[in-house]
Amino acid sequence: MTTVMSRAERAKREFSARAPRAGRVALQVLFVGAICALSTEIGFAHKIPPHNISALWPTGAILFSTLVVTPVRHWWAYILAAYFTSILIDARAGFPVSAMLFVAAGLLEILVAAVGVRRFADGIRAFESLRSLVAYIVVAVVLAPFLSAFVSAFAGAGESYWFYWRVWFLSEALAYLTLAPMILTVIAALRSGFGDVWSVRWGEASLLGCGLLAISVVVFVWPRPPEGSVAALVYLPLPFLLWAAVRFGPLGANAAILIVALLSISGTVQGRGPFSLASPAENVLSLQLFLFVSSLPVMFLAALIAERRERTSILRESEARFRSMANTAPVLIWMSGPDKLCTFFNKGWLDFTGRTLSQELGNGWTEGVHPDDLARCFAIYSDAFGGRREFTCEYRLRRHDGQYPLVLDKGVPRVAPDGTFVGYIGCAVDITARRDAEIEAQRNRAELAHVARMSTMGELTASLAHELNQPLGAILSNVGAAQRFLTKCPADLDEVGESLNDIAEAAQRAGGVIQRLRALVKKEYVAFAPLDMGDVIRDAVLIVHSDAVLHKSRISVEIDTGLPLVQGDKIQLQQVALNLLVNAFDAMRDCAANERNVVVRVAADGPGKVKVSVRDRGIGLGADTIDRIFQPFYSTKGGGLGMGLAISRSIIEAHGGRLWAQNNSDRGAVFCFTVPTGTTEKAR
Amino acid sequence: MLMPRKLVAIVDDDASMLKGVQRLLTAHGFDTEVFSSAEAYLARSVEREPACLVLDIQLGGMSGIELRRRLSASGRPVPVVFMTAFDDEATRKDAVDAGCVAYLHKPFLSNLLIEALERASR
Repeated sequence: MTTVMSRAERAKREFSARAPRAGRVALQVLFVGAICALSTEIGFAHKIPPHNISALWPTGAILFSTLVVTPVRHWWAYILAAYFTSILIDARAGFPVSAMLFVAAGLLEILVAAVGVRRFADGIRAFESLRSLVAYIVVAVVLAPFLSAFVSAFAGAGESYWFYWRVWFLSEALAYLTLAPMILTVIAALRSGFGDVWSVRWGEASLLGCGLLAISVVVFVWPRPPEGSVAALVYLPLPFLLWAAVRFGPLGANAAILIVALLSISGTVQGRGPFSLASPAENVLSLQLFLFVSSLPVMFLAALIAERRERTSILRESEARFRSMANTAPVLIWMSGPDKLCTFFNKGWLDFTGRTLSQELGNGWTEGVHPDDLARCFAIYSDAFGGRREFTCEYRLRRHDGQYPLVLDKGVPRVAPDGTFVGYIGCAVDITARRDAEIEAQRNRAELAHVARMSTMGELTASLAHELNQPLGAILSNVGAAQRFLTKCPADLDEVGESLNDIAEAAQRAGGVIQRLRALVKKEYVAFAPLDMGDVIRDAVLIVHSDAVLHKSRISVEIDTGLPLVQGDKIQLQQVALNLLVNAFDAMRDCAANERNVVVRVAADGPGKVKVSVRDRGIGLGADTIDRIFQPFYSTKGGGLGMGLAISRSIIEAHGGRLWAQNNSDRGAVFCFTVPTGTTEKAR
Repeated sequence: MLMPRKLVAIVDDDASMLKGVQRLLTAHGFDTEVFSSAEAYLARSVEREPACLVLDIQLGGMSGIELRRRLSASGRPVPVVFMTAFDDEATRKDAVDAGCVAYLHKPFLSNLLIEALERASR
């Protein structure tokens, strides 16, 4: 039930939607029919005796224009309407065969022209580019009248076939050249709302129209023979035609051409103007030739200008789109020319710096760059510019409030479609917040690393006490010896001197222990510098020396000579080494004392890295633990925080390196880390 | 009256400590022999038994306490003075159990060692 209802409703709605459209089409059909009838009347009225030659036959061109702009499925209605009236008119002559031939010829011509123009000449936009104008002229002005003339020429019973052929061809062609373009361009203009060109230039347009009308009347309609013999006068409308083409494009040109055509025909029909001196047939021919010759160049000129205007407006539109995009983008955008001078800054840039465009143009923008960054920034820019390469540059740029936020600027070369370099376009973003976050993260990492170091120190207190007590014990023994040598009679000063030397040596050793500890415990911000990885490892081994003794473990150190320097923070790298060494001692807790060996190796790892490996002879890592040991709070020792390896890994990764573990083929595990070499310098 | 000088053997893996103690004992009129490990002491060519041993506990390899036990077991109970840089109750207990004249914690005052040696050789 509902479907039936809804189907009925839908049909009703469709009908009611179609009804007004159908009504409008019917009205249009009637209108075209009336126009055609009227134009046929006008055509008959303007035939030139004695052969009743017409210079321009309008009906075909009008119907053709209609078919170009209406849907193909309505064509039958327009054709019927148009021919119905002409058939009526022909009925007065008793339907002569000639009338039938004319209808057939006209039908052929109109269909060839309409289909051809729609297919090859962009329809109503045929007059806006050279290519489509040429197609229009070939199809509608030449081909369609040419073909139809063969049919219609049969109608000229008794007279010369070719004479009629020529009369038909020229009068139809002229209609397609002058009348149809005007109709099509007017429809095109109506559809696009005439455009802003006309709304601001209506004054100029009316001046041009009046001038052209006046001149045309004076040249073509006013003069009676023999004054009309001044043939040169026919050139007078030409400046107006050019004016119309240049200033108003195809619409202006076509309108002006039509005015000249209508007035010159009208004058000739009345036996006035420059085309009234010879025989009627000659007059018509020369009038037609005059109109062909004067309209074609003007139409081409108009098409050229329309093409140029279209290109300019596309260009202007894309330029406007770029500007509006650039100005609404929340980034700083600039452009420079091939001479390195800046030619554009977007609103974002100007709002940021609080300066005007004219202040920033050229090299003005450099005034806002922080003086300490300017030379580097300019060097990067110039260097990239020379090689036409992309570049990125970080620098501080003065904001309107006088602050210097850090911006990241990226520039890319601009290349014109023909491949020529036309400068750079670049985009800068404020990365202060990002940089601050990075610094904050680095600070947090440093804090965490410090806490971890303190925790390692806590684990090492016993062995550190041991490490210090050795030299202190040596000092006290030497002091006791020296005191004894002094009480001898005579005092043995040589021995006292020896004792003092040894005391100094032991004190220095104790001082070294304290110094290394202090460096580890001191809370310092991360300072990257070129480092000898060998030194880092040697120091770490010294620090854990007593721990090795207490764990009854031996350490052997193998450091390659001529290693490249790495870029890193000494304390943090030492912390990682300490962590790995202490872990190695722990791993061998349950081994026999003579098997507790740790081998530390420092070697180059490819061209850009140095690798440190700490190999123990312990129990090795279980398959499940090997992945988890680097996770925070994972500990295999009783007292450990479980942070050591996690922090070590984060330290190594912050250095751009890698830390990993694997089991040895025979027994125990090896922990390795790599650190990139920062420079080409070599270690001692 | 000329007393024969007593021989004291010193075992320590820390070279500066070894040298310092040797110098101290020489200054106090002892003959000394020095060894950097328990193994080296055991491997020495025996010409003269030391009157006393000054033994570091944490030696690389065999510890001082082990050496003391080994010597007792072999029936050569030489008096021993232990010294250590690592202070720890368990170690102290082990040392006392193993038997010693004195247990000195580095750094110690020289007279403590001298007194202990005099006590041992009396």
